[in-house]
Amino acid sequence: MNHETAHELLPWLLNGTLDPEERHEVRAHLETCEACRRELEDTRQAMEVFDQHLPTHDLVARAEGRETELPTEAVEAHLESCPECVEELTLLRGSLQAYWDSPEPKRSPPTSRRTVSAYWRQGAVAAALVTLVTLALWVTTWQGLSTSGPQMAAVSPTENVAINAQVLDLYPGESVVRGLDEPVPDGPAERGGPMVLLLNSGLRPEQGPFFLEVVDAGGNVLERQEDLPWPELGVFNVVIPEGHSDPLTIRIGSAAVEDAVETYHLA
Amino acid sequence: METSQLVETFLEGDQKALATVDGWIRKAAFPYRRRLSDEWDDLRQDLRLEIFQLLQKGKFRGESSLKTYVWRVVSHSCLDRCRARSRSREVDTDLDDPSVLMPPRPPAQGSDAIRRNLLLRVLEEMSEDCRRLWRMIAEGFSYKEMSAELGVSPGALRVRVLRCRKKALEVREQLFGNGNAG
Repeated sequence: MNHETAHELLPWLLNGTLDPEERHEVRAHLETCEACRRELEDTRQAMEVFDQHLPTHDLVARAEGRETELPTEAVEAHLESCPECVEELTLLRGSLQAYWDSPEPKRSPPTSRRTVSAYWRQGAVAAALVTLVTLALWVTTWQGLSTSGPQMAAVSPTENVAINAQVLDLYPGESVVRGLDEPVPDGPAERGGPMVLLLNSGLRPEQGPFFLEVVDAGGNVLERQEDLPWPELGVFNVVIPEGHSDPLTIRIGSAAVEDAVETYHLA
Repeated sequence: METSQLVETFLEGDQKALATVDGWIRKAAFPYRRRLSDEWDDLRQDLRLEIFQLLQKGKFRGESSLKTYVWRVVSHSCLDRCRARSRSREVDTDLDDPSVLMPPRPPAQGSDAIRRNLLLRVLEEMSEDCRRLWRMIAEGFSYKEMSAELGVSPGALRVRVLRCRKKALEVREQLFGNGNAG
């Protein structure tokens, strides 16, 4: 390989996209050619120039409307020609708006064993009670699944179901292993009993209406609810009836915003 | 609760203070959940630790609310992680010679900020064509893919890229000077 060809290929040596044979040839040439090694350093410096982006802290400051460390004109000039930084700035501004606009979270999830704290206990129990009717429908639905596929039929809920329910709150992307979590302090929950999942959605009210679906390990949609309004507390409820043990994925998504979907897992 | 009291109780491990700050962390990090999905759980633990350490070291001076401070720390950290991921895809990490690897992105503080400003000025001097070509290289396009995408021969493409490189280094040398080439 001659010098000229080696020089021309250096950018792609650095980005790792040369064919194995070309890469081997360029590297072999570099080992014996000091001039080309200097060219490689020049190429690295050029790559650094072309890979310049605004510093993170300046993007954060810009998103907040604070003064940036870099001169404002430099920031603005770069933003005019850098789609990556514009995208990051847009993300930061959206994040900032959501951070201050959305309601305060009820609580933060503990790292492993999730129980309902005293702070949230009252709301959780209330949520469990509110979902009594839903629970009744689910019990029927899932009992039907075991024999003749998805069916919905109303039955009369019983207080006993609610009292024994485990109430667990989850955040998007989290998993909970059924039966390993502590029961609701207020109720004599038993392992394997019905569960009320409180899904602390990170979606936003204006993204509604929402759908909610429960999918089994085989990818089958066991239940799907459409046109759900934004829940008052930002918490969607799902009731898993007693006796069901398969891994489940619960998805909540916006009917209006394509990518606005979040998942929760029950193992 | 007063900010100073919240900081104090957070550092003492008070459950209510922890829950408050954790809630802020979760909300601030939430927009990055898809980009950082495979480290989502660890991320929030790391952020909590980072904030704990910053508060412990007295880095929070009360110039903003604690909630704002948490958003800044979380956003900064999440964005850096996203950038690091993007960068790790751009370079050939299989090269044996460490000197071949791209230098890490320098922190923009003090003299580094001046250097960064100069590099940005060099970039501003580059034509849109050059920027586009090198952006594609940074995004991991091979020269064959680029030539197909741009409708030029591989040879012509490689020469154009080389010219852009030379131009960038010329401007860089003018702005940095020979003795301070970064």
